[in-house]
Amino acid sequence: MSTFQALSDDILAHAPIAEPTPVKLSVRDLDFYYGKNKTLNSISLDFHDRSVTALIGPSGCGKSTLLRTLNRIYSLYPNQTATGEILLDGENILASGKDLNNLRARVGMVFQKPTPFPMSIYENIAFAVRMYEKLSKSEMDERVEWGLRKVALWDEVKDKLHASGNGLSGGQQQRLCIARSVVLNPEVLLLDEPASALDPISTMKIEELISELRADYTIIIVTHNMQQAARTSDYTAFMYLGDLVEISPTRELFTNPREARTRDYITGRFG
Amino acid sequence: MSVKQFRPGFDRGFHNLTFGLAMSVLVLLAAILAFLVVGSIPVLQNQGLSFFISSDWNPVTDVYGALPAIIQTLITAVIALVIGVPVSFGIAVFLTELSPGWIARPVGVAIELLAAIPSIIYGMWGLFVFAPTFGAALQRWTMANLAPIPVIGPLFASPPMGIGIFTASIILAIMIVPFITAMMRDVFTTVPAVLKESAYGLGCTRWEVIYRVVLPYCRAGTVGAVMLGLGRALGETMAVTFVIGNSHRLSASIMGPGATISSSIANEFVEADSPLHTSALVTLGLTLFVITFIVLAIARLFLLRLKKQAGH
Repeated sequence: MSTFQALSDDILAHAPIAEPTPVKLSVRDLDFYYGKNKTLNSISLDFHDRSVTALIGPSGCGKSTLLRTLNRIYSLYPNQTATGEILLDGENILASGKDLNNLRARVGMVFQKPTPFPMSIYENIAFAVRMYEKLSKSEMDERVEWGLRKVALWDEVKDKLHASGNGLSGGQQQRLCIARSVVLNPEVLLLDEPASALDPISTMKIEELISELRADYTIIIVTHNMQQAARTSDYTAFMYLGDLVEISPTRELFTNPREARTRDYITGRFG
Repeated sequence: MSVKQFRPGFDRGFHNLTFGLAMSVLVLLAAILAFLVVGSIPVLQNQGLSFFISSDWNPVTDVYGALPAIIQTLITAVIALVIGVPVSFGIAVFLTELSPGWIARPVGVAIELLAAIPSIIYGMWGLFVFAPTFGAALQRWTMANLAPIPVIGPLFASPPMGIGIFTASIILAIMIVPFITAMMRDVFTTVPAVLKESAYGLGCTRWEVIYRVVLPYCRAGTVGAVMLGLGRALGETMAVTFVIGNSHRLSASIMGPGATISSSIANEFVEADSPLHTSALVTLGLTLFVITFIVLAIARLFLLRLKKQAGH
């Protein structure tokens, strides 16, 4: 029961949610197919505005797949299909003819492995902004600084803005990638195991960053690490074999799970 | 349980064998260079620098000026690149980023088959099929419409025979496209999927992903592919010999007949009776070698500068 004990400490440290915020993103009866292989079974859940929702579950449970439907990044691959509804502010993003570029500016995504583009630190951010806004040089400088400050990277890179993004440490690269999404003023941020490739100190920084960004964005984070879910999230959804087993306020899910399968997973009996 | 026998002799022998093989590369290079340099001495002693700056090439009077061949080698290669690189880039982008699998595979195989066709076949096809069509269709049009234009007009003036410098350039372009395409496709597929996904995840269009992420990521490989194409275009012999017209004449027109370094060598080596003529052809070979070397060196420098700019 040691896992459970450690989890309890994290949960006790976590502030309870005062009032549920409005629903930002609502998933209704979502099925997902890789070719003929069904990997999500009729998923329905809500993500609340300005809150952090963690998706947990063993490998292959479909948590990353669910995340990848929310900005329709799966649409890059012709053999992947989703049916059902995903409502972003009430508008179905799965509807055909949806402007995906615009959607992806509203729903930003950060991946497991840091993915700086092959250009300078400054350009990594300016490149993203330039696609949507025409800014003067000084406005752009300001925006880049704003983005880098937002992810607490400014002080570390301000003297080498024009060096390659590839020269940064893994943790710095990941914060650069978050900054790149944040400068587009997204409404939702999808984080796919953002810290799993990082060392403990970088992980801590990313987690701190998540709790700060929570004030402005709807954040959905996929994580393998239950402590991380307990530390960073307001809501936690437990998935298993393509099903959503339960979604509850994080404190509730970890201290008093409704489902036996959830209890077994968080106490380390499987997974 | 058996213990592996320790055989120092074998290991040393293997080391020496591979060392010897590696050294043979240097020996070979030195041998070829020596042949070219020694072979060049007679004509360079006889004609001096005028070999490179005179455009009078006349085996009957034993006068050799290589300027037309040198210039036309460069012109055909450059035109071939200007036509071939964008086409190859387009094909490679389509195959790696845009096409569904059922079309990418057969087209990919076709590209590789095209690359494997011996150049003499391209030459025959160029002479018997392409040149007559080209002469009848396009050249008549350029004669009528472009040649009368002042300043650039002379570039296009020539009788519509179909064969000439421009025809050779087009055949070269057709020949290098499969090479450049196959190489570009291979380097484009090395871009990690997650890097492209994160660009798409920011809302990039396909073009933005290709131009801002895929291309910079594959910078070295792309330049390498273009240089490989250029190297092939500079040295290609048989196909060019078929369609260029083989005339040692410096004219303003890119439509008219000409000769490249390699086509001159292929055409004249058998009939080169005088020692000076043979030496002139060897010197042409040396010149081609040096040009290719310079092209490679420029490519290296260019890559170094790109790397510095990217801050690596």
